[in-house]
Amino acid sequence: MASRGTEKALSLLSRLPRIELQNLKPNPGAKKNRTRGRGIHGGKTHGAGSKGSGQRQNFMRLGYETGNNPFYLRFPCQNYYKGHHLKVSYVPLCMGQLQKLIDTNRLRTDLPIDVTQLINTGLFNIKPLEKEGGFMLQDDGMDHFRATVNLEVQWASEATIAAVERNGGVVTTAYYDPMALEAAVNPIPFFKRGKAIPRRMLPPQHLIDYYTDPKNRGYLADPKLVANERLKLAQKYGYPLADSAILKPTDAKLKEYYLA
Amino acid sequence: MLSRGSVRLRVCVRASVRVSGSADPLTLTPHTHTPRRPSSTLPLPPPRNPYTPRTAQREEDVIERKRNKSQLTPWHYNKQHYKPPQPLTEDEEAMECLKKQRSLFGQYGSRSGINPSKAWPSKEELALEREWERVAHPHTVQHMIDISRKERQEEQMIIKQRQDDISRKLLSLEKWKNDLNTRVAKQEKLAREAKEKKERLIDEVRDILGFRVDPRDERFKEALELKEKEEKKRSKAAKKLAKEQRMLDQLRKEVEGKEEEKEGDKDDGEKEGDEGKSLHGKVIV
Repeated sequence: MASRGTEKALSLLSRLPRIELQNLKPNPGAKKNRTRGRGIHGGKTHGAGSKGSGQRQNFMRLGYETGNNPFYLRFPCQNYYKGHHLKVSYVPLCMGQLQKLIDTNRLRTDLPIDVTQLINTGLFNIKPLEKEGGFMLQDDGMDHFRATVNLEVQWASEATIAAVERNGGVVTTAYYDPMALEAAVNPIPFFKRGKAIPRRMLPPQHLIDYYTDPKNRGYLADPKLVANERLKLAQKYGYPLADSAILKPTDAKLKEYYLA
Repeated sequence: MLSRGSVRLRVCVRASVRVSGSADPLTLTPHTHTPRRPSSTLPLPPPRNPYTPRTAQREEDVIERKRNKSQLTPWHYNKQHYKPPQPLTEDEEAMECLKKQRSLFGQYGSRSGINPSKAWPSKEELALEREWERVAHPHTVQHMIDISRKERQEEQMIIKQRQDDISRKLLSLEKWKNDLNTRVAKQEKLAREAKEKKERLIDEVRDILGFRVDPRDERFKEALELKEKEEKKRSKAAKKLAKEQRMLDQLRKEVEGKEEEKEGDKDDGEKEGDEGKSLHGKVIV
């Protein structure tokens, strides 16, 4: 019995195609890359100019402006901006803008309006790599908002929620972790990578309160509490709630008919 | 008009003209056409069926070659027409990295010939993903809600404790204020008294000496000493006086007591007590 190595070699031999020029590779070290002659066209001063600190490789430090107060030292540290590079920001979506999009047929109200649909209008762009978390519903123009929508955003205030629900719509706030947001914002390249859709991560600790609160219509909140809050909000802002109740017939014959 | 170069005659030999022996054009003889195979002796080959699959394929290839006038390389042509590459062989499948295979599947779908199960994470990848999640997002939703609730409770607790502390301290605020005031008043009083005493001493010394002396001066101290001596003398005399007065009082009491006894008991005629009372009524200087 031949050794495993030999067997493997033989099986390979039987499977592999005929040796041709295009199947062959030179031995390592056989081909030597021709090195370009150095200094041919970049010779003499080698791009360093003549004399001066440049040629003598004694450069001024980066940012130095030959004595005047440099740009990177002009502005003092502002506590207002402390940690700004770690905070998540939201792209504003005004209600007036939303209304216009719907009126001009750039958005469909029969489908749920979420991040992907809003990006597909071509008017918005979200950059998850720059710590943008999604859309934030703003109250500009909420007084003349008349559309009935199923809206999903990442941040919404009480007034905006009322504006949407007043017209019989539904608004939810949902958290998209950066990877999920990247996929939602640009689904085609994501799917072209051929990977199965990964799990969407939970919000971080400091945001869990927001997304579990029924007042914000968080996606992690109890639906019963959300319904309760809907009622409260309607009473607060003074509009009637159009409850979509599901009515069913009680007659036996009708039931039979509709079951069949 | 002939050129300066050598003159050459071009000889064209037609197919039907046979060339014999020498290739001298002047000796060419015409040749009559004779078929290679006489039709009467050998059977004819079977007529070619133009409609077999192979012929159809061949025709198609020809047509396709003629049709494709894009002058694109095959790779470019395939890319342009979204044609998937050849399915991977076993060896290629084994060697090609998952990422590339997945991207092929993502690009061409099932036409790529790649097993769709490769879209899901492999065992190693799954282990890595799970580990990442375990570190980055260790808690469940309920646990996170608990944590946040506890944080809020703690904040409230701290605030409440501070408020209770303040309320408790407010109760004894008046007492503390009074205590402070009394302490301050006492200290002020002491300071004032000391100052006044000092002033008084200076004045007394001035009375003695006739002029104001600085307390730190030696003369001041001497004057003070003198004053103290005089004071001692005076106090001694006063004490003596007080002592004698006390004794007088005592005797008076005794005398009064005896008089009372006498009134009660008239038989006793001893008037020895009168000796002790010799001072009664007299003024001692």
